[in-house]
Amino acid sequence: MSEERLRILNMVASGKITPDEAEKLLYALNEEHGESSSSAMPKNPKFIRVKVSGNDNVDIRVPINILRTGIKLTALIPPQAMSHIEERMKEKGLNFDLSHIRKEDIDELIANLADMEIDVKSRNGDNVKVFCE
Amino acid sequence: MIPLVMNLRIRTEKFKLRLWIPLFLIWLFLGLLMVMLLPFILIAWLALSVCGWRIPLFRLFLTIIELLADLRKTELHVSSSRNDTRVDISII
Repeated sequence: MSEERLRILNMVASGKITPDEAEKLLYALNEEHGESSSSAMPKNPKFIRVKVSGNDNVDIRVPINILRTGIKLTALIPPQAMSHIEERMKEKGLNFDLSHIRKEDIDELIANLADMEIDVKSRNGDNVKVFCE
Repeated sequence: MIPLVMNLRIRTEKFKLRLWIPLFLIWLFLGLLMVMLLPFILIAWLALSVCGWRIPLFRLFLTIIELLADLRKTELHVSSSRNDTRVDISII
């Protein structure tokens, strides 16, 4: 329970505010928390960036929609081939059904990629960064 | 929309090159090639369908077009500090 909620409930318990007033305050608190959590929601990233810096500098920017369309391609794999692929993936511990991936799942995956950042530093001074923007 | 143009820029100590590659001509060529190969593609598709390997051909074609369209705004920049070379590729 948050501190503000506790304070409001204590004020009701001590008679400083009425239950109706407490309800309005709790509603206003929920609205405020709803706004702040929506602003903290990951934005939909548009590109995947790969940046390599060191002796040679490489900067690659690829639209993230390629990922979406690539996943759509998996839905076109014939069922016989798909069952083989899923069997092999299960052997490696990857237990998910490629043929039943929904659009909402893909959108959620892409939205959560906004927070992805991979940073690799090699011994010879090369730095590889992979992130979404 | 599928990408129509690719910009290629190469800069070295000795020379600079800037190319504007009309990808639409390549798509046109590939389209004509597809039309010519269509009978063979259809025969292969029929043979696979008879064996039970159903591939939605039209959807596959549309997905490939979509994949090509998603390549728009792809950029690649490579530079080497050792020999002052820079390569920039962008697909529009």
